[in-house]
Amino acid sequence: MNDALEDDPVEAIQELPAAKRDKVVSAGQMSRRLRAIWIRIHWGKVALFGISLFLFILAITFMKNGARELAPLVRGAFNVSNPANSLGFGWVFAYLVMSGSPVAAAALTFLDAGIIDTIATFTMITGSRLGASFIVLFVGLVYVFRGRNWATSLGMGLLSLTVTGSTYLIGLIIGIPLLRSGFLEPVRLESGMLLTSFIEIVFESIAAALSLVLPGWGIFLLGMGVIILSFNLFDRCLPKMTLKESQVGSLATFVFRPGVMFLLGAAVTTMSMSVSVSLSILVPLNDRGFIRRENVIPYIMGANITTFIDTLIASVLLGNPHAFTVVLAEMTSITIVSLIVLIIFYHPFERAMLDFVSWITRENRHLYLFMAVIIVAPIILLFV
Amino acid sequence: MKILIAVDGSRHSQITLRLGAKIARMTESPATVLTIARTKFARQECNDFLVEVEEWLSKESFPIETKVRTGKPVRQIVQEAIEGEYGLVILGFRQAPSTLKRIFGPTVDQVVTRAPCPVLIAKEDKGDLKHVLICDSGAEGPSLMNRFIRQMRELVTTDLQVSVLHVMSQMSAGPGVPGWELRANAEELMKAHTPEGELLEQDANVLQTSNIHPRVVLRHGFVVDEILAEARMGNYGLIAIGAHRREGWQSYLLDDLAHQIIVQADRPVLVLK
Repeated sequence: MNDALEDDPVEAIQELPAAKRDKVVSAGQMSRRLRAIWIRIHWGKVALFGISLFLFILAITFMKNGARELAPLVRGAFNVSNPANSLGFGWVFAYLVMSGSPVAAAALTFLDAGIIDTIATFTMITGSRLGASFIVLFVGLVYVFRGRNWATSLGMGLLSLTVTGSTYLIGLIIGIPLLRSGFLEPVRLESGMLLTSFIEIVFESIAAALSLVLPGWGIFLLGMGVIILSFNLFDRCLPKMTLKESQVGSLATFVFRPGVMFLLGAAVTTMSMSVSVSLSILVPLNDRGFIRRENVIPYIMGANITTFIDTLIASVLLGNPHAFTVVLAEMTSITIVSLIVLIIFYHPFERAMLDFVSWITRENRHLYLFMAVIIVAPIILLFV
Repeated sequence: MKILIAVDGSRHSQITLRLGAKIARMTESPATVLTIARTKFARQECNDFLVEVEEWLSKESFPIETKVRTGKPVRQIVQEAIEGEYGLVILGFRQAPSTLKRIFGPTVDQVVTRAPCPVLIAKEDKGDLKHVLICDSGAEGPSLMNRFIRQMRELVTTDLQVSVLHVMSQMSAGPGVPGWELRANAEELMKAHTPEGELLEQDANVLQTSNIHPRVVLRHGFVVDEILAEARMGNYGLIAIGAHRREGWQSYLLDDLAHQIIVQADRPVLVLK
């Protein structure tokens, strides 16, 4: 049959029985589709994803190996000795590195090195998310200094920070007892034997070689640099969502059920691993950069849960079961808070968030007061 | 326009009957008061109630017909509306007593969805019924105004005062968005020919063809909150909204703002079909 197809494919196909002919035609269509998909794949981005994944694992290995020597610095100089300190430490640390995920990964390596306990790790990760929300606000502030309107430029950043702050701080109340109860400890996710051996052979060897020339704290700092680089590279792997390209954004013309936006926020952030990236995806197609108030809050709430996916992966790579439990407790507590809000008092919560944001943007002194509070609060926590 | 007033004998029935009588008098339309007996054994009770209704309405020198149907309320109201070729169904609103009913939709929601004509949900009388707030989301273009004129033509007289409201619930999705429209009023948007400005202009033009000179209003905020706030501030007697007949995926994914307005409004709500 293959010979016949090569001689005159069309005639040969027409001579086949109907069932076989359909199979040959559908196989041809499938082949064309696969070829089209193959052409559409951005191989450069796939390679970049591979590199960012490699760097991510390398960074975790560096941080894990270097963290032990940081114990005196973290306990002594930064005085991280209780959950409030670690909350403030994670918060300030995220401000300094302008990102939350590297700080959350650092918290896990501190736990692995025995510098902080599980509760302090939990609050440090919470602090890292609070600090990361400030970054969105910081970008808005840059526009304000360039002469844009307060309310318009800062609205989304303030809302993101307010929703994140309120759900995460309430999440602490649920998360800490949940962690203490040991309820989540039976849940385990471990990297496979093959990955563990691969990490030991490749990444541990690089770390061991580096330890000959660098002190432990130097390896940790190098790890922080590499993890920030890996997240930056990962962001570049994602398709660039602009005003004209975002297909998700075209949905912004409708008012969706809160639960739908919650799931959408969670799903998009699972793929993008960044709240700010997933928020930018919401920007409407061919529109003016607007989003409906009704849609955005549950979306942020959903995004705030799955933004921990990278931290969860880091905990698996560390191979420390307690680290995994901490991240799971974080995700579980935020999920519980979000579901309670969505099911029981979503509309009052929604109004309270928006009212608070409009109060902040109403007068310059309100904004200055708010900024002062979110800058001073983590510093005070460090010294509690 | 034939009017069907559906009542169930509850406390809300008085409000529904009063509003029904008022609309019937204003539009000089014949009205039928319908009550539903869930079983045939309950028919006598319904007949007794309708006798009381007839007595009460006769004092208002208002001729009516009464009717009892047996079965499920939603199905019977809709069936009567179809068979009797009514132009307006008026019914009272009661918060669904059970969680199950709240989830699957109270009677009012189901009648709004299935009725062939506009449905007026009776609430406390707050003002002049000739002072109407029409809320246009823009999803239906100028057809909402056309439907209002066509379906409520008996109400459309020269003394009708109409305000057309559009609520912009959008906010800036990120820094760098100019967003002057998010602070603008109706006139500014109409002058700049933005999508919202053009919508309001189109609405005003459609109404002007029927000699109604509407006031156009634009508000910024949550859709439901702003509609209710405007209704209170403007002391409107009637809020008119479009029924978004969502089908397929939309019915599962989209929020039912019409339902929220019906539930939360403190004055009558007219749902145009």
